[in-house]
Amino acid sequence: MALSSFVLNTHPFSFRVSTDIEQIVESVKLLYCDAVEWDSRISLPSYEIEIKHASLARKLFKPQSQFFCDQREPFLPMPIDKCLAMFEWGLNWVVSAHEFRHVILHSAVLAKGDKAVLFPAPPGSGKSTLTSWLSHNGWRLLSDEMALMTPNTTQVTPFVRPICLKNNAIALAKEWFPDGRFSHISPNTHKGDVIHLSPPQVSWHERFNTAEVVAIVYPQYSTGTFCDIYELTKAEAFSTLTANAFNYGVLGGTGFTTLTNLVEKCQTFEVKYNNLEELQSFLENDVL
Amino acid sequence: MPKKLGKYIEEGVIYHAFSDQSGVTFYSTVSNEVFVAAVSENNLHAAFHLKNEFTVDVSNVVSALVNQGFVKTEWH
Repeated sequence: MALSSFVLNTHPFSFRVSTDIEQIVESVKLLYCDAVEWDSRISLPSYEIEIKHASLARKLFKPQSQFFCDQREPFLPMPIDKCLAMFEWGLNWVVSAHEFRHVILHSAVLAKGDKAVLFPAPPGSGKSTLTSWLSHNGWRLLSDEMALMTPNTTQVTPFVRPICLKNNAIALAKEWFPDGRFSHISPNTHKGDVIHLSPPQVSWHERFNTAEVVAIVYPQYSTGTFCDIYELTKAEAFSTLTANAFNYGVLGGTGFTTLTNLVEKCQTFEVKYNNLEELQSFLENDVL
Repeated sequence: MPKKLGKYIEEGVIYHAFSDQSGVTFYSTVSNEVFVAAVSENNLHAAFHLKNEFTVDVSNVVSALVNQGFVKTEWH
């Protein structure tokens, strides 16, 4: 296909994307709703992104896609059937590697009104499954991947993007949300099979509104545990939070004071669960 | 607070004692390194009293905390 160009206005960052891969264009139309500006000349983007087929030979034999940010190629090419996963993970990398106005935590963020809860967790903890559940059950999504904390405050800025679901969570989410806007599956990535789910419209519409973090909850999906809740000490919560901070070392003292301030002002819990409704009830009745 | 730890802190450490008395955490600006220790205040006292020779140096503070098994998270 001919080269397409559009702007993703994913507040607070925007990306001008150029691509010759039809699957990317179709997926972006499906997943990003009104955050896509098809006339790419009307706004000044934060980053220039290009995702395209590799060489002509590679178009014919084991096709691959290449990702570029501001004309640099940070990753090796990936097979074309994983191009959407590469695109989404590439955008995550662009922000986490270049953004220093915010303290960035590897965490999902969801809110009710202007009260937000952080869910920092490593891959495999069920964070995205929890995110998809809450965002389709009365909460608004601020981010599935990273919390953008304004330094020395508890204010978190939304960075709304599609939710990345993996392996067993894919079938669950399709059963829960039959009307959900799902991308195609990117098969056999290093994280397994991956699919992207667009959050509900309310999350997109509210993407310019910040929220105040009132709690930090470390979720861990556990097959045999209905819903066990532990209150963490501030020191335990801080130690775990720093392990989930992307740019904490670069921001130095500012990062340190932001995180200590955050831990002091928030309730902190660790939750092991296999029942999402029970966890949601705990969050709504005891945390907010 | 132990005298040598006090000197170290004066020369370039931001620290924070958590309000629930669950520990103390440090960020060093001396050598622009970052390390974090989450320890109880009593144990911290014990760690530095046991250390006879102590200079104002990040690595000494870190090794004192590591030797006593108090450092929960540390990276440079």
